[in-house]
Amino acid sequence: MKQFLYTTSFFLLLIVMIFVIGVLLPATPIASNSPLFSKITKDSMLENVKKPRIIFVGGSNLSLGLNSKLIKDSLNLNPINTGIHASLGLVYMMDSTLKHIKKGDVVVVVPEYQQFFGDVAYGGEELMRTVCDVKEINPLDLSLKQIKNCAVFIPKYALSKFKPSEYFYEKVDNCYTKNSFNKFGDSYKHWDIKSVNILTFDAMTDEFNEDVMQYLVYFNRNLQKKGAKMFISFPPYQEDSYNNCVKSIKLLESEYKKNGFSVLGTPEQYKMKNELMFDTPYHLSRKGVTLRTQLLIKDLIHQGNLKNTNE
Amino acid sequence: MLFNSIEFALFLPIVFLLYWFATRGNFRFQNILLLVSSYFFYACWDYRFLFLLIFSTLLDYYTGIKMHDAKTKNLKKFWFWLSISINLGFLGIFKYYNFFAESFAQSLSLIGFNANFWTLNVILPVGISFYTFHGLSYVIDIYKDRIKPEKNFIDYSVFVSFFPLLVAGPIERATHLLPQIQRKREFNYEKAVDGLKQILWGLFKKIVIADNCAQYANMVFNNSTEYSGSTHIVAAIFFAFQIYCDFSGYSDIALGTARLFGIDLLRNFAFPYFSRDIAEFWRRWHISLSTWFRDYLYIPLGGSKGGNWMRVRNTFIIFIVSGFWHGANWTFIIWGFLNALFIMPSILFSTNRNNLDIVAQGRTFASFKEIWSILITFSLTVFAWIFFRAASLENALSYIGEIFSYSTFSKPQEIRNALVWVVLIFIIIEWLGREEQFAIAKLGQNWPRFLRWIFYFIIVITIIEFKGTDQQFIYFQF
Repeated sequence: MKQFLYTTSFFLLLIVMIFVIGVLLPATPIASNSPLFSKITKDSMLENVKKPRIIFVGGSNLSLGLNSKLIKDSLNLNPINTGIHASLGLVYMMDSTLKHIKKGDVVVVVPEYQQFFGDVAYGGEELMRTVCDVKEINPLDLSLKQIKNCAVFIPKYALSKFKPSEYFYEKVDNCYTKNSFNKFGDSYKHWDIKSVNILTFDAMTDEFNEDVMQYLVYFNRNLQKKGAKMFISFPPYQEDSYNNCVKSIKLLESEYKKNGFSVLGTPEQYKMKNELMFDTPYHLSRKGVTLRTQLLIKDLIHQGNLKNTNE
Repeated sequence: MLFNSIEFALFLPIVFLLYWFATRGNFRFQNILLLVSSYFFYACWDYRFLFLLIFSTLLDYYTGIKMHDAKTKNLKKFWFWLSISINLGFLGIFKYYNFFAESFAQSLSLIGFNANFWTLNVILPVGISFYTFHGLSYVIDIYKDRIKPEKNFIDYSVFVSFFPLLVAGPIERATHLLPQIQRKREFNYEKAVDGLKQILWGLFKKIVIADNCAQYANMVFNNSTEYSGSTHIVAAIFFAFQIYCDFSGYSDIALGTARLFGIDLLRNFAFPYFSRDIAEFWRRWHISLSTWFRDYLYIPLGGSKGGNWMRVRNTFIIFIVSGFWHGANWTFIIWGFLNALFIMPSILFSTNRNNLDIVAQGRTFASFKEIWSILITFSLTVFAWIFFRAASLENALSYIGEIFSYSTFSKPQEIRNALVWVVLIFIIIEWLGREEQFAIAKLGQNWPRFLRWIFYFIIVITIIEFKGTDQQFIYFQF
């Protein structure tokens, strides 16, 4: 028995050592160019952009799906698009925004539908990489659920540090770098790239997560305390994926209403045809971005009672 | 708690250490620990169904004793049928009620009646088909006086609920597992190391091969009209590897885990894709279920004793029932029917026991004839898997229609080269280890330790590197 325990422990120790070394090594050149590093700029925008402000909170449906300039021109508010990646998790997105909120801010939360099902809202690989590479988050600020979700990706992350391709063979699409964002935080480099074949998302099989909804209620309450106003909007979603997920989407819509949020528009409005998508069911092409932004502006004016400066 | 989850990675060493150290080698304490751990393991899925499992265990334990003690034949029969009907009743309600209600309503609508039957909106309790079959074999064996009932409730409960086999088998027999539970287990270094190797290989099959093949297969099966015929063929082949590596990977982890506790479970897979005919395939695929159906259905129906007609009838019955066991859907029934059809020539010409040995035994390479037979058998199996995987019969037929279209001559779409290479390497390793219990059982046995460790290390790295989207083990739904 002793021999068995010594041998297996030694083998495991070797593996753990390699993981530890991998985690401690600095971010690779490829990783350092990732859109996750835009978090630094976006945090500084949240700190420095002047009032009146409109802040968008969500994942890549915002980063690759919004033209903030149109919003600025129409509503005369200074937009900040904090969207980066859905896998940062809605909980982290809300936490990291809350501390920068100022009195009078308008906050539009646009979570991807999956954020409310299973434990997607607690983040995944991108959250872990933001902790380890971008170093914008103190791991101790994360909840146990977030740490658990991140921990799964540590071995893969650690091994990536030993891959030559991470150092020498840069092959990253232009639209997915830290430099692909404009001054409002919109990723715009993909606007002139041809759309690719988009896979469809299947129906959501995980159960609705009531805790995430309650966290959103808590977030809203804190915003109100700080004198800010929150709206909820729906993300643009590819038509086929929408049809697959319609049951879960309807459930989410009714939960938003049940919790008394100021909801802008309906999910159907933001259902997008294939030709408006870029590369995933949430990412939009230039045409799609314009349509979505116009829909959002309309909703903000009519339902959010914000003033249209173009009239 | 999935076998490939962090929770299980913590659960297993804790139970292992408690089992060998805290119980001081007392097998009674070990059994209590195994039972508590198994119930905890099951409750992690859904604690509500734990009561169903305990009820099912109590039922078979009690009726087993009652049958044995019965003074008259009729009384014995009463207890036997009580157990059988309650066991099958649960299975019927949870698994098949909706299927029958909907099918009946559809049939009535064909003749102009509009019936709307009440359907159940319940989740299928995980592993119900497996533990019900455990219980059934135990009760039938007692009824047939093959075994005596187990008087110790803890021992019997461990037999039904032992966590490695609880949710997806192998389907154990009382004659094989109970004696191991009833005696003292000694720690065996070789056995434990073998167990760890088998767990590692099972994880490789599940995480590297099954989950990654699943991504491709799901993509094509879920959006069938968007892909060419050749892509359909590749997806069907990938599904064949997915289901094999998913289920046999699970079985490897289950067998390996049980070995860590000094217990040997029944072998469930024996390299089925290297079979030279369908009969051989079914001797190597899901062995614990095939033999269950052979012993408790095929033989009681008369087996092959009553001439050709009897053999044909019984073969169709067990394959269709086996299909139905997998799920309440016509796709599974057709899958079973097709397999019965494929095996029929060898039944009729009595060639079904031609290939009892291992292909190319003692040789590295197979002959052309063997390779040809393997390829034909594999193609038939893949064809039948299309029905197994498809959401409905219409989907399966349109999928097959795409395969027989002109687009089959085009290049398959969206194939990941890395996945193809890994699958090829996997096939080579499986081929080299086909004479063992599992592929890497003896691989590298004569190498120096550091080389062996490098090999295991490469497997670990490949698992981490290829970790795709987690997919539920397919057989959990059965």
